[in-house]
Amino acid sequence: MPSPRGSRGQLRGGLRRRRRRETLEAWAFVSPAAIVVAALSLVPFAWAFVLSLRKQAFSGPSTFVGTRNYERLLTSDPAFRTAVSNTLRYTLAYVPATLFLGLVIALLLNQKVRFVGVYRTLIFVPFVASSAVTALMFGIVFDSSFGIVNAALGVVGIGPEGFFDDPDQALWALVIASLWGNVGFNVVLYLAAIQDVPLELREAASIDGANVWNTFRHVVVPQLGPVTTFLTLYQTLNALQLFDLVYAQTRGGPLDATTTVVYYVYQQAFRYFHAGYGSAAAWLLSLVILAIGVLEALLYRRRGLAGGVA
Amino acid sequence: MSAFGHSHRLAAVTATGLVVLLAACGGGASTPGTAPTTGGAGTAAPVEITLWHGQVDVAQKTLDAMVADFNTSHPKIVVKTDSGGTTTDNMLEKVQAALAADAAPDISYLYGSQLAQLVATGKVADLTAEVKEPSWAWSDFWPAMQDGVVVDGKVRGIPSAIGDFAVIYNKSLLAAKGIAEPTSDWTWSDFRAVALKATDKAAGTFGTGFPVDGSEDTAVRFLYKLWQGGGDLLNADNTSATFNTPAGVTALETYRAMAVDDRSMYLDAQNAGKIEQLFNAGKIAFFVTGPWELETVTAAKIDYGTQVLPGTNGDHTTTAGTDSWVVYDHGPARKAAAATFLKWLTQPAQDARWALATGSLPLRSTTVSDPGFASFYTTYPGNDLFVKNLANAKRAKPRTTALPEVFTAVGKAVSAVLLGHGDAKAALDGAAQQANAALAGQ
Repeated sequence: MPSPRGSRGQLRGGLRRRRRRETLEAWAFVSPAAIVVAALSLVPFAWAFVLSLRKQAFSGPSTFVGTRNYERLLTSDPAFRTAVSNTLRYTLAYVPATLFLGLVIALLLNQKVRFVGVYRTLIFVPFVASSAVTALMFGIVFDSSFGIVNAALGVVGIGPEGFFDDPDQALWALVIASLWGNVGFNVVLYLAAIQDVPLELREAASIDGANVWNTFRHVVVPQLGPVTTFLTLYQTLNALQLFDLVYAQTRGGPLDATTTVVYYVYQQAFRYFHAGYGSAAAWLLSLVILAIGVLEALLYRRRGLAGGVA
Repeated sequence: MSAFGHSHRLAAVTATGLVVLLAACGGGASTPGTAPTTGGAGTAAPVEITLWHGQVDVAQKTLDAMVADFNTSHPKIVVKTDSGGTTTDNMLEKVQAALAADAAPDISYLYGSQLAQLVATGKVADLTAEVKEPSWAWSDFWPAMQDGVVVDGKVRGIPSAIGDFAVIYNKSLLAAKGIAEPTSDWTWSDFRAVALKATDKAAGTFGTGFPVDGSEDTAVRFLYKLWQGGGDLLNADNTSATFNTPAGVTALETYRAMAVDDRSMYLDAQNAGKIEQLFNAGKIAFFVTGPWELETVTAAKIDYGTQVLPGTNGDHTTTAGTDSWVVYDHGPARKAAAATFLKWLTQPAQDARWALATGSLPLRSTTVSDPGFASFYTTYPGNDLFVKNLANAKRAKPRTTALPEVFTAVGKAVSAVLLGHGDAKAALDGAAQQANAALAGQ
């Protein structure tokens, strides 16, 4: 006669078996995608670390150098330092500007004006356009000799400015081109967040005597916190990885004024064929990005919004 | 939302991934990427070899037609052509990846300044013994090309193209300003004087232009001036930089005076063809360029003239870009077949046919007297000076794996000085330091 204990044991065993089968089935469904992800990002990621400890081109002889690539990057490579400095200055200018402009334009597009749908679409179009198109257009607009911006500045007696030809201006010209290309994304998110602010809250505020500014400052802005956090981190990650616009617009010049870290990696790996050294630089950047990713996750957890907005 | 973010975030990861994908394939088992080899001479099956040319349009069609003729006249060899899935611009990257995957062709096109990097892979065939055979008539190739394909004393390529630098000037612009056209014995002070006289700020006209993007384009324009002054980029065994000598400082100082003091030079920081556009719009009096520019200048209906570079004590040495066909070692039978094909391809008859169809300059001095070459100058007007000027292309750029970095260091120093940042000696000293670090293979 089976004891109750025995039967409970059997039940538990059956459950475990069923759960194991379900796990297997789940893995069967997930594995094609998982294998692709692993093969195309995790394996290269790990292999890049192996490479970063070596001195080697893509083929041919290679030697193990330990952490020497990292030491050289951090202590005695002025070109890398320039790239880091350019990337940081770009990020510090671009991220606040893109948030501010995104919010202002979103507020403007939240008004009841005629054809607002057309304006909203137009603002988003540059985000869809490729970086090559953005680069080409700003190359023409900011042309130092024949560009329309210099022509306009000339009318009011300023310039001519060098823009992409001037080592002191090129990075800022690049920030402007980037803003034009990316601000539409922030606008759309802010617009959605603004429209999510409950009407009752606004009504309550105005009943309590708050004017437009106070309503915005004390009712709308606090509601925009989560989306602002997301956009700050998202745009920071974008800024740190700036490459396509640099490649298409300035090739890192003039005089390295627009060489970003990712462009530097590209140069080392694909122009000079220092695959090991380039991988080390890429890994340093990855660590920074990883740290920001962790920060992002922590912030969301604290707000109880894990995966909420992104 | 996350879809937008995804592609952007992947940018850096992709860069890392590419580095790895290429490298990860390296050093695998050896499996020939193309057709099987035959047992050698005397067997019935022909030897099949693959050629990656990277050519487009007319050049591609012409090459295909020539290869078809070769295959007909050489029944023991079958040459298969393929663009290599790229243009010549990205051939080095493409071939590096193919080598890593053991899928390299038998022959590929390659830019001259990239040859040493490819040789460093250890997979480029040594053709020194082959080209010594009298039937090659090796000494008929222009001197700059004979040297340009030698890396560490070994012949690692067969000349495939050459382009030399000379001056193209706007005849009517000079005439309008009452400036005499440059003569074949003109000097660098004439060069500076003409540029200054032709400069007219009010009209937006510049004497000449100079690419200051810090690339090889910048560096080679410094190089011929350096050579004329008796200097060189590197020492004989390519172990240290020698361009920060008085010859180098003088060369750079000449340009600096024009760019900074005279403001007679249009400085193109992005080097995206602006100088050519300005010349074709009648806004630049003369510029230093190669024969490849003649077509657009002619199309722009500019009344132009051509002249050799200004000289130093009668020395009008110029630099030339020299490209080559590189052979990859897939065993003796395929190597021999590749050599046979390339010898045929560069004979005066074929060389003339290629030149006439594509407008490329002849590879051999003997091609110029080939009957097939006779109509070249009427078909491609303006090229006569560039062909004659090949005699001034006496020297080749250094062949070292660090050449791209050396050129970058020099190019940046020259650009900085011309843009008014720093003086010639200090800039060149700094560049020499960087070049030496690259040469030491840090």
